[in-house]
Amino acid sequence: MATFEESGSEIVSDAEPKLLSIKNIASTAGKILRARLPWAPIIIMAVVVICAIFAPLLAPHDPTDIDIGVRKLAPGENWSYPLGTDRLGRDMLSRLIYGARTSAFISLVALGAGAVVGTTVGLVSGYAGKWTDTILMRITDAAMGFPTILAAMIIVTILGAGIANIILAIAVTVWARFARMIRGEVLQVRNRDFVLAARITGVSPVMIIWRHIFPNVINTLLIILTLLVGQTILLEASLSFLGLGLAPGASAWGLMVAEGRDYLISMWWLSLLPGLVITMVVMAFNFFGDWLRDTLDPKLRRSI
Amino acid sequence: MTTPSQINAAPGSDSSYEGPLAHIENLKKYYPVTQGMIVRKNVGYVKAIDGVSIDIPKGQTYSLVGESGCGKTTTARMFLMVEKPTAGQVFFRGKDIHKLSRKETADYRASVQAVFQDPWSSLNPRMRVDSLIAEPLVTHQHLSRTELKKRVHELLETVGLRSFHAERYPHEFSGGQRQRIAIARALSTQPELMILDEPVSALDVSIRAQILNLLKELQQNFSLSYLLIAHNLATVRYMSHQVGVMYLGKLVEEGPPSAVFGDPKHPYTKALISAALPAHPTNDREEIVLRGEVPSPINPPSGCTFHTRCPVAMDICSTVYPERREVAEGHRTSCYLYTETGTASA
Repeated sequence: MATFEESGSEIVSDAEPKLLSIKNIASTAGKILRARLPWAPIIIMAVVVICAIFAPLLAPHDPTDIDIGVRKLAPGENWSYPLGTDRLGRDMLSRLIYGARTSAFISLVALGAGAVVGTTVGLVSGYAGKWTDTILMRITDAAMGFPTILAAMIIVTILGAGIANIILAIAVTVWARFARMIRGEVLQVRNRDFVLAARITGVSPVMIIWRHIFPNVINTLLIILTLLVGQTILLEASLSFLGLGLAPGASAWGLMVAEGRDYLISMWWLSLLPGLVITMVVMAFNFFGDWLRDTLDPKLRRSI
Repeated sequence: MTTPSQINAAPGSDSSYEGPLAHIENLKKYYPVTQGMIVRKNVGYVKAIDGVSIDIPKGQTYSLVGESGCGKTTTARMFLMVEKPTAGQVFFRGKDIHKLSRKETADYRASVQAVFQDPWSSLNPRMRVDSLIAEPLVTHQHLSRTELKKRVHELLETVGLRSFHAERYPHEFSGGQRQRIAIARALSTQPELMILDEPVSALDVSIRAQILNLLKELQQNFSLSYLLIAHNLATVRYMSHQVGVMYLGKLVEEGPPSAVFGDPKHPYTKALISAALPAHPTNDREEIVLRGEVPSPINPPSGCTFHTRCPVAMDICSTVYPERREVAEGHRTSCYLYTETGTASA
């Protein structure tokens, strides 16, 4: 019978746990500060968020205030209306600031709803496998293949116009992207030994999904979220542009572009300014999402 | 070494039962091989385990050895109740585990725990050590917060860690320490049987002996039974009371390690032992190099599955699989060399 001798002593750290955790926080903070952050997207995103929250404080005028006396002012013509006014004399800058509020609200709520539904479907589908997976994924394929604009038209026709229905239309198509990506991640996580360890201990499937699988796909979820914010804003703008949902006169970027398209030559700023804002915000979220993906999960280099 | 306080009596304990703690009888696990996208048809079966019977006595270690793909891990998984066997039964305390009631199944799950090969994969990186260790307890027993905390600290000390390690995350530990955490977790419900699937293969050589000694110590203190899967023969020799050698889903030889390693009977066992490095380079040893590859388990050879590579194969070997024979006290093998028919025709 061979015998083993105790060889080499394993180092058991004696350091005070509290000291260590402070050190940990410091080093994590240091890492974030030292990392090359995408400052331009962050600043643009911050401006949008601040505008959305503090719109009434920031806007120099009421965005719905009609004043025939100052109509059709070009940007820079009158400095109390720095970005000009439209053909009813409403202040462009104020409308853009309030537009951030509309866009942010619609896309965040729609995305949130889509994320909750899609993540749940993805988790269940990926973990359950077999027939559940096949059925859920075919439904997901159908939802992904269905054009959003068409879905929105159907919903608006049936349920009538309004913010709630725009949100519904976006959520109805956007959840499928979450479901797909999350399912893919779940397939990887569920084969790790800690899931097997939980199963043989008798932990219920719901608890395994909640405690073991979900926390390990949060990174992916975060990345999909940021990458989709831009697309959702664009979708909302397209829907407003097409007149599906928001009532004319509301401050939404897509709607403003649509209202200005009859005056492209005579009042170029009506369409150009909101168009520029949409482009910049969408690009900011896309760049930030790309950066987040590369930082958190380099292997996720698939198009979402 | 602290002894964890007795929180519950051994689940399903039945004083009248005197057989082995766990045993499997003529166990088979076939995985179907399918072809076709829409209409699936079976084109064959992977015979992962094909008629294996083993006994695991209380407080002892039964080890399974064999090369990759021979069915060791599948056999161990049958005890973990994550898959159903194709045929045959798994018994625990004399009861078929697939015929237990809901309550009994929960007790069974608490009594059988596992430690896996890779401690980087077997501990959820998002959970703190205390919730990792407490998870089986939370699942099976209703303890108060303070009781749980006390138990976690006891378990940590049992496996040679400190109580303040409870507040850390797995990535803050070395491989050996992580394996200790995995062991503490497995111990938490005071199991009677532990499945050790290559518990030290992923660890540094210098740490292996410590973990093996810890496992031996725990076995003595808590009279645990182990089903050990390992490919390192020295580990097996050190740990086990019984060794089973598997080849292509079949148990070809079993017995106490001194017999199996000291006086191997089956030609495959001989080849397996000769392939391992000797304790000292100048030691004399007979070197048997097997020809060819392990045949596919989808269409295993007829008769004795080893006859295609066996250096001493006879005509009879390709006909029917040889019966298991006792060649010495507790030492059994399935080979025609040790049967009357075999010796007669040889």
